[in-house]
Amino acid sequence: MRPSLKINYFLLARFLIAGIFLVSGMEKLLSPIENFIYAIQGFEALHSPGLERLTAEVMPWIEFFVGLFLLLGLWTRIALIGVMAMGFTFALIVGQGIWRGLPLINCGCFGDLIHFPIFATFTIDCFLFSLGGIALLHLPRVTVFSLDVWLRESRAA
Amino acid sequence: MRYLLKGIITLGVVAAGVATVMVLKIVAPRRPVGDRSGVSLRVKGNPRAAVKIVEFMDFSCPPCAAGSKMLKRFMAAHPQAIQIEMNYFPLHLENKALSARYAQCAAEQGQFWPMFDLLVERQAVWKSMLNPETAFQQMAAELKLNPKALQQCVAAPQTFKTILTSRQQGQAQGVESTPTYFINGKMVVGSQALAEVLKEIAAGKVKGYAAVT
Repeated sequence: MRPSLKINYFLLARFLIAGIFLVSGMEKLLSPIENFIYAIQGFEALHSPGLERLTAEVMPWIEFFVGLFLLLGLWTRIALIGVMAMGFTFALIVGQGIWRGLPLINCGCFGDLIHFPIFATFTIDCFLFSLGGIALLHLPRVTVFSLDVWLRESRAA
Repeated sequence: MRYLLKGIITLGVVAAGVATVMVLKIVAPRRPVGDRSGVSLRVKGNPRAAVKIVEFMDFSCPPCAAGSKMLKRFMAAHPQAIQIEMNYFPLHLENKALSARYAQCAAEQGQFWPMFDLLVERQAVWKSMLNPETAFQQMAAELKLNPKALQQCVAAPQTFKTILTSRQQGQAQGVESTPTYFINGKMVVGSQALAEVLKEIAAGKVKGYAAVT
């Protein structure tokens, strides 16, 4: 009897989200912070230069580590909750920009690496929120090949 | 015991992640590249000014026009305070940066800044035109540029190459959006941020800006 080669789509989803957040975070971390501050200012949502700078300083690190932890499968549940929270927040911020008719040319999501039209950005944010939610509902299948499982099994052994 | 091991692994991952980013930041620094000859044609202001502004802009971008008008007003009010160097950073290359090519060709006839001012002031008009070249030719005629030399220059591959080199220099310094300014080496992105810095300069708070080397 031939073994069945079933594709674990939930595992692929985990790697996809991890890749998106790793690339997005890393690109911003390696670029001058002023570029991301400018992108944030474009959304006119924070109304405080200090808060805009703080967001630009902190957000890339959060994206980077959420991506890294998802890739390794460490604290997977918390990382997926983080993905959902970010997806929801980004969608809300981009959505209000579209609603108000702000002249948003570039979301600044991937620095200079990729430029998405603003409606595509909104769709991607909603997609990430949904994908994070679906992955969270299927955690046992998402955490195949993960440090979380390895740590649990090594203790059991 | 499991949580202790998980904690140690977590700390290790965080440390490795931070170290990787730091190493990449050091290994891949952004430095100016390419030929900078001809830049002097696009410089104005006091050469001994305490504040030197290197601008990267796209003629068709509205915030760039706003920033340029702001700088012009500031320079009129404080003629000795700043020196400006303008660099091309066309965001789109569909038209092979036609407006920038006209500006560069005006520069070669010693009329860069008058052409620059016309391109900025009439941005809304020529941006809405199907063929903005007519507007650029009109501006060139107003500045009494040599039409034959101008047309040869606009069509020359070297002109477009100069603009691309300027853009690459911007990219090498981390420019992603326009307008981007380097004010005594400190990066400032957007006309809103520029306005804040100009306020500081006007108030004499220029100590924070290290001299350009």
